[in-house]
Amino acid sequence: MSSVPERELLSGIRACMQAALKLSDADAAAIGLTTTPDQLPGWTSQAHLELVFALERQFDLMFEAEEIAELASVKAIVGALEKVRTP
Amino acid sequence: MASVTPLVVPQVNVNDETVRLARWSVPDGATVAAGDAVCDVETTKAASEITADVAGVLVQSAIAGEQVAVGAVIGAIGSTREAAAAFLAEPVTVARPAAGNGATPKAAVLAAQHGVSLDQVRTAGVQGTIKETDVRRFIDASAKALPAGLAKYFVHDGALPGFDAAIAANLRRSTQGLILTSVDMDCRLNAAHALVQEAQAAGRMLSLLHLVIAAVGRSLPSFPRLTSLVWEGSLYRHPAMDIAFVARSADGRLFTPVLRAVDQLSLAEIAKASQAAALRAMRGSAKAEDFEGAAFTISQVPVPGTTRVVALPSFGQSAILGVSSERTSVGWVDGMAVAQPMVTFTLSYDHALCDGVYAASFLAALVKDLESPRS
Repeated sequence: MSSVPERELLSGIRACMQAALKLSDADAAAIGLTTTPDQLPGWTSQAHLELVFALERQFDLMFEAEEIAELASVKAIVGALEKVRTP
Repeated sequence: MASVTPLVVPQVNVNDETVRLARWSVPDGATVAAGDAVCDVETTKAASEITADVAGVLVQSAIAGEQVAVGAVIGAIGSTREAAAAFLAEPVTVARPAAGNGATPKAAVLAAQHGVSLDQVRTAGVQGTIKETDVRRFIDASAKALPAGLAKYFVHDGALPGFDAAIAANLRRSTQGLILTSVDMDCRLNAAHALVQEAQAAGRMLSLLHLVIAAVGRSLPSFPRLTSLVWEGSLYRHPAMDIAFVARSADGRLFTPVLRAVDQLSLAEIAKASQAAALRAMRGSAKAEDFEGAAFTISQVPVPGTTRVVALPSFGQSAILGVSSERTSVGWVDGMAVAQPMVTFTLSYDHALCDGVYAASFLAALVKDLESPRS
């Protein structure tokens, strides 16, 4: 079972993904840690950039440009966010 | 209240009406201090550094390498990035000092921005001084002077925003020197899709664009005429596989970041570098040189239903590859009709440098490579 901070992160990530990938409420609700781009037709390379932008705004941080190609799964995004948010 | 100061091209030589914007010294969106060098301009006889008059956030509206008019606005420095960008999006952008011609600085600047001679502008104010409102009235009046058959159907919508104008100027300058024609070829994407799916399932963002960049890097060296230029009767060749690709920001701006020596990069390196370059361009943190010196450009229009993309080469290039959206077509495999994912490549090229057979041969090599991509 996921911890409270992880659930909060997931909720924020879902909101960002719904906006950037233009997902329906049902598709957004189905997003989980194991979701990858091949499971969502809207998760294109252009949408991926917009997702990164949305995440940076939502969580008030900036990813290293070189690492964004590796953020292509919800699990990787959670990991990157936790890494940045951990002092 | 947000304040904005335009960045105006100075008169470097008395006789020059245009200068070349050689390079930006700071990236778009950079915070500058008063007196900081922001860009270099040059003519055939002289070079000059432009410095910031005020401190603030610089937003660029012209592209390095462009020929720009003396007095033209090539950017703005605002107390915030948003303020500078909003200023540049407005038709009232500034330029050229009055130089004793009886106009206020704002009027002279507006006139220069719109290519209006102040001699043509009538004054409504006292002492014959031409004011900004006089120039604005003249521009509006001129804008209505469309051919009679058109004027009644159109309304004046202001000047073309600076960023769009810069792109238009680049393409106009480029295409004036080229004999442009194009050739198409379809490509099956079964193998490409398998690679993309495998990477994405493993949590790595890989797309068709990355595969195309890699395949172009492998195919293009055998077709040097597509990375050559004719200039004043001489032939010049770009020896490096420096490939630009078109990226679009969330607000619809187009950028063409350049990946260097693509033929020496792995697919994973291309995917990583191209996404990083696109993100820097979209954030406004890219440097001027990140957009300079490409040998070739790839322009993908993934809007569903797009069957053919006839793109225009940027200045300094003679060919560009348009990539359509993906579609499903019926093909024949071992006598069976099967649905196949397809894309259409359109190569726009300079017929002064090569003919249709040469251009189509490049596409054939590209398609062959992509139909059996390597990781």
